[in-house]
Amino acid sequence: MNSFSLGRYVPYNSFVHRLDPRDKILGSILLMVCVFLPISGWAMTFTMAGILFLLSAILLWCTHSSIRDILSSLRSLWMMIVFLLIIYVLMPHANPTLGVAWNWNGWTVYWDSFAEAGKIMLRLLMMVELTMILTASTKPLDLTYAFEWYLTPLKLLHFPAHEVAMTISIALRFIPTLLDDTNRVMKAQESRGVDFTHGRIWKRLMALTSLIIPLFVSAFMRSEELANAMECRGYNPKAKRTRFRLLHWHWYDYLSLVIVAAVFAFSLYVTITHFDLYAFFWGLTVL
Amino acid sequence: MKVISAKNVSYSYDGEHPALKDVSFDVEEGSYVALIGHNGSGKSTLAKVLMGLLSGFEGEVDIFGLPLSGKTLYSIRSRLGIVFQNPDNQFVGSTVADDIAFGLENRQVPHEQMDGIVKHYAEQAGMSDLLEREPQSLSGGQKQRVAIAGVLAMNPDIVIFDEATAMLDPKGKHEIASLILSMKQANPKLTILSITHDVEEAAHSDQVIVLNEGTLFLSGTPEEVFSHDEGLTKIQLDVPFLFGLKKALKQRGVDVPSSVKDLPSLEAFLWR
Amino acid sequence: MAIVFKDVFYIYNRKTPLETEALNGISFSIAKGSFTALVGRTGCGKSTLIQHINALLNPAQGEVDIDGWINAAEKKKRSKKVKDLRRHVGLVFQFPEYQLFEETVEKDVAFAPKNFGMSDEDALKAAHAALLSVGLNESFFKRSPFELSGGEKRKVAIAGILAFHPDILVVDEPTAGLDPLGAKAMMELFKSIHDAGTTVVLVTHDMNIVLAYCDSVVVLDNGKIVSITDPVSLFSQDIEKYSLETPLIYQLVKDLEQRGAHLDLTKIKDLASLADQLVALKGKVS
Repeated sequence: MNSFSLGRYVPYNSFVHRLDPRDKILGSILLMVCVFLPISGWAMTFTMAGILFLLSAILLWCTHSSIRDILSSLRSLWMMIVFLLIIYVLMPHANPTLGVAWNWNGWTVYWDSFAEAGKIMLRLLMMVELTMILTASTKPLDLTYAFEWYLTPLKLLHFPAHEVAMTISIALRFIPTLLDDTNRVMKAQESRGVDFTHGRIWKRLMALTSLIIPLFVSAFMRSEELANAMECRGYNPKAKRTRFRLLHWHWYDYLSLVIVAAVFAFSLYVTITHFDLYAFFWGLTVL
Repeated sequence: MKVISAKNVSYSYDGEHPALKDVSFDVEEGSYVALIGHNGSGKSTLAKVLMGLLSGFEGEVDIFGLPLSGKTLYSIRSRLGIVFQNPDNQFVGSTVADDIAFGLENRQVPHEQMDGIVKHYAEQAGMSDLLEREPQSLSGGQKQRVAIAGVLAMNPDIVIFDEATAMLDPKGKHEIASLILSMKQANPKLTILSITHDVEEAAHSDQVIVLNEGTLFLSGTPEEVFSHDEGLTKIQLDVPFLFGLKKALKQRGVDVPSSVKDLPSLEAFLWR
Repeated sequence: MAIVFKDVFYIYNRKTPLETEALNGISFSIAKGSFTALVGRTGCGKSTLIQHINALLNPAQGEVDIDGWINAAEKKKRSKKVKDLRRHVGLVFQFPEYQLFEETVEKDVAFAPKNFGMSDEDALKAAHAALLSVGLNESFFKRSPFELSGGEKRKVAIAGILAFHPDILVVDEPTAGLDPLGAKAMMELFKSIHDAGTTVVLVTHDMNIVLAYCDSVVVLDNGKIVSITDPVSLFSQDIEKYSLETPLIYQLVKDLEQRGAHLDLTKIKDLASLADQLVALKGKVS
C-alpha cells in the first residue's frame, strides 16, 4: 500500500532531508530574501542570480525530486513568463543602458527589456525551486513541528501554538482518509445517477451537494468519535505533555545555517555597497 | 475483588424513553466479561456510562471501589483503557509508533522511556515491523491492534472493547480475538469487558451479561447463559453454534453430556 | 446471461491513495435471476469487479456485457448513455448510510429515481413503496436521515437503490456491522427481492449467509477466478487457502465424514437440518 505525498514530499534520505526542518525554514526564508534584493548593475544582478540559481538547483537535485514533478510545478509559471516578456518588450524602457535590440519603424526595443524580463523569470524560478526544496525534503508533519517551535514564544501572548500544531497534525493524518471518503461517496452517488463531470454548471453544482453534505456529516462524526477517544486516552489540551518526537539540532544544521547566513550577508553587502565584482577584478588586474 | 459494580443504573437520552433501566451487575478482577444484546438493547449506552462519557445517570457505578462522578472521572479513567469500534476514528498519530505514544505523551512519560515502551507493546500486538507505517496503509485489523497496543501502553487495570471487531473482516476479527486471549495470559489480573454481538466470541468469556431493551436479562457463565432453556431464543438472540446444536439435538431427543465443550468432543460423541 | 465478463483486466492503481485492486483476466457469467455470492479475501479484487458491472470503472482490457450494455476498454466499443446502465444495475456499497444527504428520508430515497427520469410525484411514490418494503413505516418519511440509528440509515440507503427497481442488484457486505437479528432481516429482504425476479450479486465474507441464501458462489483470489460452483460443493473443498472460513456446520460435517460417518449434504442448510441429520446418524450408531 502506498502513502499519499502532500506537496511533493519525496521519501529519500539525502542530506537535505536530514537537515532539521527549523533550519530549512529559516534557510528558505533567508535565501528567498536574497532572491529579491535589488542589486544594481546588470552584470552583478545576473551573477548573483546565477549563483543563487545554481545553489538552489544543486539542493533541489539532492532532494531527488523527479523531473516530472519539477516541470509540473513550473508549468503554472511559464504562461506568466511569456506574458511578462511580451509586456516588457512592448513597453518603452526608461533608462536603457544595454543598447538597442532592434529598431523597427520607430518601435525601439532595448536589450534592457529582455534583461528585466529575464531577471523576473529567474526570480520566479528560484521562488519555485526554494519552495520545492523545502516541501520535497521535509514531511508535512515535520514542517508542522518546526512551525510550532517558532510559534512557541507566542504562548506568552496566549497563542495556542501546541493546540494549533496538534490540529494540523491530525488534519494531515486524516487527509488520505477523507479523500477515501470522498471517492466512496462519489461512487455511491454516481451509482444513483449523479453526473459530476457532464451537464450544465447549475446541475453540476447541485450534484456537488450530494457529495459535500455527506462528507461534512462524516467528517463531523469522525471528529466527535476521535475527540472521545482522545479524551479517554487522557488528552488535555491545556495540560503539559511530553513529546515522542523531538527535533534535534546537529552539527550539519549549524554548518548549513552558517553557509546560508554567509550567502545572505554577502548578498546584503553587494546590495548596500553596490559592490561590482567585475570592476573589482578589473581593478585588481590593472594593478 | 469487584472492579466494577453497577447498582440500579438508569439512563435516558431524551428524558422520556429509558435507554437503561435498573441495571445491576458485578465484575470480578481478572475476568473476561462479554456484554451482549441487540442494537438498541442499551449495551452501548451502558458502555458509555462506564467510560464516563455520559453524566447524569441514575444509580451508582463503582469502579475500583470509587463511585463514578465528575470528580473521580480522571483518576478512574487513568486505570481504564477503551478500544472503540471505528479503527480510523481512534487513530490519532501520523504513524503506528506516534499513535501508541499518544497516551504516553498525555501521561507525561519522560521522552527517554517512550521508545522502549512503544516497541514493547507494539511487539505484544504484533506490529513491530510496522512502526513507521501510516494509518491509510493499514488494514482494519492492524489499526485495531495499534489501538490495543496504545491502550496497553498505559497499563490499565480494565480494558473495555466497545464492539471493537464489528467493522472488521473475519481475518481482523480473529486477530483481535487471539490478541485478547494473549493479553489475558500475559496479565491474569487484567479485567476485560467486551461489548459485542458476536456470540462466538462471548462463548470464550468467563461471564456473559445479556441486555435486552435496557434491562439486564441474564447474567452468568457462557454455559449458564447459552444453555438457558427459554432464555435467548425468547429475545431472538443467537447462541454460539455449539450451544445451539446441543439444544437442537436435545429437542430431538439426543442428550449431549455437559463434558462436551468443543467441536472435536462433540464429533467424538456423535460418531466413534 | 445477465452479466458476462470477457477476459477483463484492470490495473492496480498504485499512484493514488485511492488505490484499486487488480483484475487479472476475469471471464465468467452470472445467470439472470440467480443469487450469486462473490467471495475472497480482502484485496482480492471483489470491489473492483463489481464496479465494472455498473461502469464506475472501465476495464483496461476486455469487456463486460451487462444485458447488452457493453463496458469495454476502448471508448468506441463502449455503449453510450451510462445512465441507462446505472438505472438497470443497482449498486449498494458497504456502509451505504454514508451516502445520505437530503433533508428528509423520502427525498433521499426519491433522489435516484428522479435522476433516472421519474417525475417528482412518481419518484416520491416509488420512495414510499421502497421504504415500506425495507420495514420503515410512514413515520420515517419526513424525518431527517441524520437523526436515525445506524441500522435505520442503512435501510434508507438500500431503499434508495430499490426505489428505481433495478433488474440487477449488487450489494457489497450489506450485513457489515449489523447485529445477527438485523443481518437476518437484511438477508430476508434480499431474498424476497430475488424471489421477485431480480438478479442478485452479493459480496460477502460470511459463509453462513452464502450457504443459506445463494445458489452460486464465485471465488476470487489475486484478481483471478479460482472457483465457480454452488455453495455445497464449495464447502466440500478446502477453502482455507483463499482465506475463507468454512461455516461451522460444514466443519462438523467434514470432520465427521473424515471419521467415516456419512451425511446427506444436500439436506443440510442450517442448524435445524443439521440436527435432524445428526440424530439420524446417532440412531444408526446406537
